Amino acid sequence: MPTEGALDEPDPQVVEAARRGDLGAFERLVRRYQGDVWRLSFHLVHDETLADDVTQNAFVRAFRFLGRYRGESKFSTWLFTIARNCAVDELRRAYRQDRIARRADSEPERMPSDHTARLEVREALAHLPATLREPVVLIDMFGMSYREVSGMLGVPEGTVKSRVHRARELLAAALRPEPEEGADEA
Amino acid sequence: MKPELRCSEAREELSARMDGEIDTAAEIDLDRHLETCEECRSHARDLQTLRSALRVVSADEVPDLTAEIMQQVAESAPRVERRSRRRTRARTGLVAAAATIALLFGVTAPWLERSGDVAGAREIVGRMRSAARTLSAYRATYEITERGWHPDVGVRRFSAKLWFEAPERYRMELRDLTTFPEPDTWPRNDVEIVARPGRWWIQEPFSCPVEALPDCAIEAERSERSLVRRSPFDGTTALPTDIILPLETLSGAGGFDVAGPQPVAGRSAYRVDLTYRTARPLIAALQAGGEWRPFHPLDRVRLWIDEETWFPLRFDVVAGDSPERKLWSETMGLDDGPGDVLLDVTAKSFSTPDDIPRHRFSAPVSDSPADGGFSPGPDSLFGATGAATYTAGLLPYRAGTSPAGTVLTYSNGMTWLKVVVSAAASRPERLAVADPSLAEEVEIGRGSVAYYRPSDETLRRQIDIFGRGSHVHLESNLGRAELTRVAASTGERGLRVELRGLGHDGASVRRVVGSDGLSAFTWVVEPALLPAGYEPSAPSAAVVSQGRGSNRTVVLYYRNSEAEFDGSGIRITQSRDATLPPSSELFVTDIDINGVRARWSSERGELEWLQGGIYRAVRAPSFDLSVVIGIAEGLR
Repeated sequence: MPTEGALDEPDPQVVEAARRGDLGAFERLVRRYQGDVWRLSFHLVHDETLADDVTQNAFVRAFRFLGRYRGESKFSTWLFTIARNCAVDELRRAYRQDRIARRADSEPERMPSDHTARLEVREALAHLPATLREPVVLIDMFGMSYREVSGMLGVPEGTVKSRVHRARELLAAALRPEPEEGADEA
Repeated sequence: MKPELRCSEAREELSARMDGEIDTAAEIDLDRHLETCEECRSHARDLQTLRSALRVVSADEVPDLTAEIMQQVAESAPRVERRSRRRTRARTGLVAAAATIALLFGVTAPWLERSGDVAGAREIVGRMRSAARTLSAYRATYEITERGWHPDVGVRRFSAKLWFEAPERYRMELRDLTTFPEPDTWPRNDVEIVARPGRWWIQEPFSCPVEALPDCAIEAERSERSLVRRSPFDGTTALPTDIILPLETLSGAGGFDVAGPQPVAGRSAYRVDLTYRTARPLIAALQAGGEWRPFHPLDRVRLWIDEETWFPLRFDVVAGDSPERKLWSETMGLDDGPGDVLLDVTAKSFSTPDDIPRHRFSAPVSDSPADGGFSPGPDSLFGATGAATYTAGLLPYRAGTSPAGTVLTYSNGMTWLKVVVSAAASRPERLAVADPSLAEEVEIGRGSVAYYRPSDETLRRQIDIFGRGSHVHLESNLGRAELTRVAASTGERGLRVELRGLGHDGASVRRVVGSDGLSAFTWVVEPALLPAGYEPSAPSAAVVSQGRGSNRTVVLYYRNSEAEFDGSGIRITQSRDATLPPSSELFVTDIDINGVRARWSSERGELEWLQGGIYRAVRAPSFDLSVVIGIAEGLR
C-alpha cells in the first residue's frame, strides 16, 4: 500500500470542533494542510499566484461545507477534492493549459535533486495534459491510493491506473538525458 | 497458458506495482517479463528515479497562507457578526482610537464610566469583613438555572443545600434536576463536597468532555476523591465560602456600583454590579465540582446582598457584548447572545443556627485518598520563632507540622490566617516567589522587605519573608493592610531577592522600587489612567533589563492590590532603540494611538507600537480592546 509520502489524517476531535464552527480548531487544520493544498494547487494551475488563490478559496469553501463532511472519506481526500474543484474553476476562469509540449531544449543533466533538476521536473509536469497530471501528482506527491484518486476525479480505478502509467511514461521520456550530439552522429 | 505480457502492458503493471496496486497474478506475469526484458528493467529504474524527483519537487518550500486564509474564513463565517468583521478588516485602514471605540464597540470604555461607588463599596466590604468574623454557622438552600451548557440541552436546573460551621466544616449537595432529551445518555451533574478539619471529600460525575456528548462511548460514572491529613485552610481543597459571604469577590473588585436597597424575594437587598473576572470566587463556590459551562472574564455579574445579614440572596451572570466576547463564544462553540442570562442562583432559604449536627460533616474516605501530610501538634507551637505577635484579632486555631514547615493558624468566624515557618528557601524557590510579574516587593519595617501576592484562584493573599536562615510564609483572607501588619510583627528581617538569573541570554535584570526609581529613565512613561482596582502611580513592580547586545527594556506591572483571580493584571513594556517584532497572530488590527499606528494582537491581548525610537506595548489579557486603547492613550 502506498504509505511513503502519504498524508496523515487529523485528530477527529479537531475536525469535529471545526465542524461546529470552532475557528481555533479550523486554524489547526489550515496550518496542517495549507502547504499540501498549495502544492497540489500549484501543480494543477502551474502558477504561484493562482495557487495562492486556489488554496485560500479551497479553505473558505471547506469551512463552509465542513458541516456536510460526514467522515465517510478521509479528511485529506475530501479537502483535496475541494481544492481540485477550486483549481478547475480557477483555470476555467483564467486559462486552460491543456497541451502536450515536449521539452524542446534543455540541458542534458542527470536527475534529480539540484535546483535546475527541480525546475525541469516542474516544467515537465506542467506540460502534461491535466488529465494525466492530476493522478500522478496525487499519487506520487501525496501518496493517495487509486481508489481515492478514482473517487476524487470521478473516473474508474482502471483509468487511474492507465493514466498514471501514461503520465510516467511521458515524464520519464521528458526527463531522460538527451543523447550527446556526437553519439547521434557516430 | 497465458500469453506473455507485451512491453507496454508490463510497464503499466510496473507503474501499478510501484503504487502497491498490483494483484498477485499480474505480479507473477510482470516478474516473468522482467526476467527477459532489459528495456523494461531499465524503465523500472527510471520510474524509481522519477518518483524521487517528484518527491523532491513536492518538498519545495510553499508559502504560509494561514493568516490570509483565517482572515477570509472569519469574514465568510456566517455566524461572525458584522462588527467583528469590521475589526479584522481594520488592517487596511487606520481608524482613530476614539472613533474605533465608538465604531467597533458602540459603548463607552468601562473605565470612562465612573469606576463605581467607591465609598459605598468600601463600606460594604468593611461591613462584610465584620460579619465574617462573627459568623459561626450557616445553612442555606438554592435554586440554580444554567443556560448554554450543551446545544442539545438548553437549560439545566439544580437545587443545592449548604451547611457551614466556621472555620472549616463545610458540606454542599448539588442535585441536577434537568429534564434531559434522553435521560440515560446524559451525565447528571450531582456533586457532593464535604470538609472538616483534617479531611476533605468530593463526589462528582465523570464522563466524556461536553463536546462529545451525548454520543460518547464512555458510560457516565461517579468519581470520588478524598484527602486525609489535610493542612488547615489548604488552597487546593479550599472551601468555597464566597457563596456564604462574598468577601473575596467584593474585596478584589476595587470599586463597584451599588444600587438599592431594593426588594428581592421579600427582603431588602443591595445590588452590586461586577464582572466575572472579579466575581470568580462566588461562581467557583458552585463550580467546585462537576461540569459547567464557561464564562468570559468580562461577562457581567449582578449580585443582590441582603441588607441586614450581608448574605447573597441572588446572583446571575449575563453575557457581555464586546466583539472579543463574541469571537470567544464562537471559538468556544457557544451560542450566547449579548445580555443573555447564563447562570442564575437564588437562595430559597437561609439561617444562622448556633451549631450544626456533627454527622453533617462526616466525610467518607475513598479508596486511595491523597495525603496532605499535616500532623497536628501541641499549642506550644504557637510560641515558635517567626510566629506573629499581632494576629489582627484572630485566635489560635490549629497548629502542627507539614513538609512545608511548622504551620500555625488563627481564626475568628470565617476569617483566618496561616503562618508557615521553615528553614531558608533555596534560590529557585525565592525567585519563583519574588517573580515581579506576580509579586510586589513591600517594606515591612526598617530595611526589611517581603514579597506580597494578591489572592488568586486557589490561594488567598500571601506574604513571604526570606530571612537569613529562615523563611516565613503567610496566607490569609484578611485584607492586604492587615496582613502586612501581621507580617511586620513576626520580627523576621526580610532580605531582598535579587533577580539575577531571571533574564534571557545573560541579560541583567533588576527591580526598580516604586515609581520614583523610574525617574532615571526619562524615556519611560507611566499610564494616566487604569481600570478600577489598579493604581496608575504605583506599579506593583518595575523591572529593568539589559543584556549583552540587547536593548534596555523597562517593564511595569500593575496588579490589583487585593485579588487577581485570573492571574494576569496589566503589563506595560518599553524598550529603547527597538523595532516592532513580527506578529505571530492571525487577527492583527491597526489602531491609531495618539497619531501613531499601533498593532493589536487579540489573542495575546497586546497592543504594540513604535514612537520616536521607543517600543511600547500594553498587555491586559482579561480586558477588552477599548480598555487597552485607553491605557495606551494615557501613556504620555
